[in-house]
Amino acid sequence: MKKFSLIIIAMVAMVQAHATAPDTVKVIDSPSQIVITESSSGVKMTVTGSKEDKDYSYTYTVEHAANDTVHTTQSSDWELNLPFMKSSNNEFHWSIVCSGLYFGAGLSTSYDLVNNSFNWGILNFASLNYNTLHGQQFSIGVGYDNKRFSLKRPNCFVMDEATNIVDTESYPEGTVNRSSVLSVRAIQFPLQFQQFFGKNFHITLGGTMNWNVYAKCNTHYKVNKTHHDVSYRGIRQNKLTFDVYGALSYNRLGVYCRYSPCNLFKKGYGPEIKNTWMLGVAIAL
Amino acid sequence: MKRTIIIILTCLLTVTTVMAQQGLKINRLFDGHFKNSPNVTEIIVTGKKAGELGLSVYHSLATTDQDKGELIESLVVKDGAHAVEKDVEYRNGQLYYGFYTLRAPTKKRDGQYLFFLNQRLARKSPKNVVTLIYMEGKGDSEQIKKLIRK
Repeated sequence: MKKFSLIIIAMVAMVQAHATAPDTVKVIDSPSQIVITESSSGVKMTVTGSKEDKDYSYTYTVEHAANDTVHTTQSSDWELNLPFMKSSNNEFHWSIVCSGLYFGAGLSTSYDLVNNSFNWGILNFASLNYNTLHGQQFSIGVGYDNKRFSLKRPNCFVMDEATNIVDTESYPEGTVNRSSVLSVRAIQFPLQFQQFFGKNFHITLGGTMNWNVYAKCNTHYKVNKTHHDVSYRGIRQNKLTFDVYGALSYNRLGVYCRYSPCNLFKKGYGPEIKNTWMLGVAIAL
Repeated sequence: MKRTIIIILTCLLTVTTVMAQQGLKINRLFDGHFKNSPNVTEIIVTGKKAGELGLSVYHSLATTDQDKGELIESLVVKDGAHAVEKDVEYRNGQLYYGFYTLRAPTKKRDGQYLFFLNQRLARKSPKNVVTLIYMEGKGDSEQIKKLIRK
């Protein structure tokens, strides 16, 4: 303000006569106060104090005539930024999101039976999240999970179609290109907790209830140049199983570990496939 | 023991903050006046967090209550009368915003600033909020303004 130099340019436009009077220029160095008062009758500007004289006073008044048209450029609004209110202004406690595409491979403690396994899914088609705004988030959602277990050779799945009991036996003699896979699809209901460390890093801990809506065994082999592809449906899988999982994420990419303690087959309807581990990558968990 | 030290330090900090505001009319707003008011949000930040923005004290009040807004305005105008530098705008006879330098910063002492904004008088998107911010910091008035303006 003290370094401020005020230049008042009063332009008198004789519009009707199409003649322009010379400019009037008034310069006041370092005024201490400028008050501009705008009213329906006109504009009044009062300048008090100057570099040379503290008691200096100057008043400039422009009065409007009754039929004058006045154009004014108003100052803009003050766009307030409250520095310590950012989090609560921009974030909300509750949100609904889609998250957690994952792919993983794993192993089972049923070493004598399962050769390898593969897992993929979307953890949350939709989840209801509660963010504490202090670095923690809880969520409950619904998603999709697919697990595939491939048997160790020379075993393959067979099913007694009368009883729907699945068992394993050796492939027929002379077969090649052999594979026998159990596939289980589930609608999952994950319940999870996330702890954020800074902006980019977070850990996730949770559990899911899996509603195993579909399961099938597929055995494939080739013998005497003939392909055999046998699918068994109507498998008696456990309709409800439970998994626990944890993940480490940086930005939108993470690694996860998932443990399934439950047997996939109902008791007496198939071999024991349980205590399986899956390790993999997760996107946007 | 640790807890006792933390409590003592917190008390000292609060006393120091209040001391700095002593002599100001707005001080009565910051002494717990609105402690149980549902329409008021009060934020006090000191120490490291405030230091990140070059401030030593940040104290704000935001209210949606019209009466409280008018009270704040009247006290701000009184304190603003003693400011060493001010930037104010009135709209429709009411204070729209006021940025007051109550004490310019020196090498030894932080500057003291007061800001008032009545967003009811905003032209683009008026909001029913009156905000008061008291700040102390090393920055000059332009630097402090940048902190609270988008």
